[in-house]
Amino acid sequence: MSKISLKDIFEAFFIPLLILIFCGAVSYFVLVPKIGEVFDFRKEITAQKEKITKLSEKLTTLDSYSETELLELSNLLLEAIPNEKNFYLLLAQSKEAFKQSSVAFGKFSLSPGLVSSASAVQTTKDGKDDSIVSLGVAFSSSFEALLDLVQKTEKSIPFLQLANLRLGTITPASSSATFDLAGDLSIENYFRPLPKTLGTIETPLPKLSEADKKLLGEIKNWQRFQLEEETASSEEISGRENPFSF
Amino acid sequence: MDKGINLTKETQVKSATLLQAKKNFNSFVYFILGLFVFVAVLTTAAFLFYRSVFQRNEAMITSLETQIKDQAKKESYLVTVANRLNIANDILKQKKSYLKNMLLLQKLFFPGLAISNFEINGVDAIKITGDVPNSRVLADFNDFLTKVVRDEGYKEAVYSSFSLAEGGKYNFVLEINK
Repeated sequence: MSKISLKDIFEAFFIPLLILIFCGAVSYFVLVPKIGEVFDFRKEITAQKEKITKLSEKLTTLDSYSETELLELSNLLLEAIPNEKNFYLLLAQSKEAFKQSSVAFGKFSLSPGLVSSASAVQTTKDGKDDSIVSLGVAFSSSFEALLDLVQKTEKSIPFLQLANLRLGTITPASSSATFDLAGDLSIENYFRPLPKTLGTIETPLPKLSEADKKLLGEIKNWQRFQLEEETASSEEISGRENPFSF
Repeated sequence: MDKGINLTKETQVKSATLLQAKKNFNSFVYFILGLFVFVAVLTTAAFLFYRSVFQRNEAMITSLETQIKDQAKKESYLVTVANRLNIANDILKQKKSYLKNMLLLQKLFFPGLAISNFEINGVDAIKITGDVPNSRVLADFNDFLTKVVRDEGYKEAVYSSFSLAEGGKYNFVLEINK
């Protein structure tokens, strides 16, 4: 029995084999990588959709605020809690507070410590809290005047904390309904640094809760010890690169 | 005369086998080719579709980012407001009120009582240094003090020092704690 020759087989299957090899090669070198790219695209599109949702929400939130209103609020809050240790301003505002309450402002002592013109710092190297500047004042007044000062500093801009109140001899005043007082107290003023950056572009914006809005409404009406020559800062801010340059 | 092709039976079988194998193989190759074309078309279509969606999304992201960057001022104001509000809430939680202690001092003004020193240390402790002219005033002051401390919600009044001075005066250091 004669065998089928290799030549016959080759002739019979040459073209189909060629097609198979072509399909295999194209699949391996082109199709499979493209299928991989399709799956990569799908993954990236899912990530893109998430990013678009975040960015859209952020933009909607931003659009819901008025720039003027936000500028006023940030100036108000920076006045309440400055970002720099401005001890001269504390001294001037304290004098103004005493003047408004008719309390005589006597000797004072102040230890400003490290003066930061760039920004406030939370703690010093030895771990001591350095975000409060304290002013010691000797005073004399009537009881009512001192009470008025205490009331005014309870809810004031800037935020002030009275501490170490010490009264000397309490003597009846010429009017029998009141008492003259003399003593000393400390006035503490808070300052805190501002954030350094805004974070990534898709970082969600902070939300102001109802409690925050209520507090803002209250703070607006708090006692101000603003000096006449002081004006609110409204400098231009140079975008995301230096967003807190006010 | 027979002019047809004269094949032996063996050759006929060989040719038929080869033909059948070729036919089967061709069918297989057509199937593979069809599958290849189908997958290639599908892949190309999917690739083009997803690339177009990707590019559209990229354009949308760029547009949104630009719009957000244009509002960087507003964003920094909002971040500042939120930051300050967080700090304000913390400060206000810890802020100590002296008003109640001052009002207590007002209530403690008692006929005959002379206060020589009054200290408020924080909001939880008041220290009063003073004197009363005699034991009758002292007794009345004690009754008065007990009532005031109770009514004003303080925890206790403690005489940390007490002495009889010349002339029958009583000197004392009184601490009122919350």
